Amino acid sequence: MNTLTNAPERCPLNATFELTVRCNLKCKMCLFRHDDKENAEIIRNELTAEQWAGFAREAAEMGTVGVLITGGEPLLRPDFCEIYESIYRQGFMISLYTNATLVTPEIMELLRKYPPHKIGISIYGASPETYHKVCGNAAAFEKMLEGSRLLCTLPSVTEFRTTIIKDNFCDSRAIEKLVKENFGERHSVTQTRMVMKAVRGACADVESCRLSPQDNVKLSLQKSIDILRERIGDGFDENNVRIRQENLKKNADCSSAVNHRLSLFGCSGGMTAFAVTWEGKLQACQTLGAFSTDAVELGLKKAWETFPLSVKLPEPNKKCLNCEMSDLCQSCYALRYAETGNLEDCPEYACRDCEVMKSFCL
Amino acid sequence: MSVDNNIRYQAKPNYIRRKVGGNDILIPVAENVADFNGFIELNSTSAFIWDKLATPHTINEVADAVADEFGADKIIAFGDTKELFDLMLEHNMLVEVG
Ligand code: SF4
Ligand code: SF4
Ligand code: SF4
Repeated sequence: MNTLTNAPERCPLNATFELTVRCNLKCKMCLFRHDDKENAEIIRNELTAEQWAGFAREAAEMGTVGVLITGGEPLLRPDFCEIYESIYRQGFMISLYTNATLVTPEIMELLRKYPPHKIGISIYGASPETYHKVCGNAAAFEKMLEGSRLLCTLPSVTEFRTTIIKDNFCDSRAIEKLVKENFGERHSVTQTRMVMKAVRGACADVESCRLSPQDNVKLSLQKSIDILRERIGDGFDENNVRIRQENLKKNADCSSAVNHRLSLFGCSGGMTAFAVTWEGKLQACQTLGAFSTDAVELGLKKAWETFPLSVKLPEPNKKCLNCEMSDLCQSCYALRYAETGNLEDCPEYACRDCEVMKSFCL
Repeated sequence: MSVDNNIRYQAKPNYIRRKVGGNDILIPVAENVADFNGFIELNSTSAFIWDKLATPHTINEVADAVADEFGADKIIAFGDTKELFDLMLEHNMLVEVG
């Protein structure tokens, strides 16, 4: 047996701080939001502003460069300004993810003083009707537009992000158009490629609202087909378009281009990145809740250092090892765990998605 | 804007100096967040110059300090310092103090 004499080097360059799993919206496909009935209990267990300030200090000492502040909806926390400022003042490259519906004058004053380097704004429809269907709140549409207009006055880079499910499928082009018309041509909309089941006790019934694998693949090819149509006109059958497979990256890696051959999960999670959950657990990423260490009890540094000891992976799945579609597969440990409840089974939705994608490949 | 030998310059407060894995970096903050597509890595000379510019100095004063600190030839030290000053002025990282 070959044994590694040295563990591969780990460096906590990027952190995700999940301030809460509560949200003012109720998106049908939300990965993280818990049922509102749990709010009182969640609020009792959320980390305090002081604890977040302490983690920010520790992260800076550990050499973390990028911090993503997210939720749930981070702006929902009444002490958001205090938390944000304490993280910002440590000197990180800050990203802030928000649904932009809770942008108050107080928050704008703070963000003008301490603009994030990047703001990710989620947009789930191009009309109040779609917002009602997807997020359970029609009025949130106007609020999102208003909030986004304010956020776009900041010097930050702004990225609009969407997740398409059955209820906003017909809005997918309209969302892109709305963003360009309201916020400028240079803005495009980043789309979640694979909508996975909710994680860590979140309440969404994703299976009932996400697209069929056929529609999901069609959607992911839509932008390219639109560009093709712009260039060569309508004289082709979009169902007969074929893709040449070049440099398709195995495993969606969320945040880093580092070589992960010697890694914990085949990606940056736990190697160059980590997430701290709303209750203070350190995980490889926000979605993979199977392994964690307790950053409240151990402190962030120790929780990071000892994290690999918490990881116990099963033997790789034989079907996946021998799978001819693995280059196209969107599956990773987090998706596998969310979809099947364990780390060894094949996530059927991802397999079916792959099969459809393969049928479009040369 | 080019460097004026008679003007004293100071580093803008809109950068947070950090040590990351043994490297010196500057994180742009406040209205400078969009000036760089990321953070700025400093080598030992530029880190020294940046720290020197925490208080107002002319380019000649900084170049002399660089020559002393690194035991470098004055002309070479001035050339290196000028190169960095030009870059910092181009990226709006310095203020003129007079
Ligand atoms: S997807 Fe975002 S906006 Fe929607 S409920 Fe979840 S956290 Fe809130
Ligand atoms: S486990 Fe999956 S979701 Fe988590 S960091 Fe790795 S690739 Fe991304
Ligand atoms: S398509 Fe299915 S079997 Fe193939 S690698 Fe992906 S999850 Fe495994």
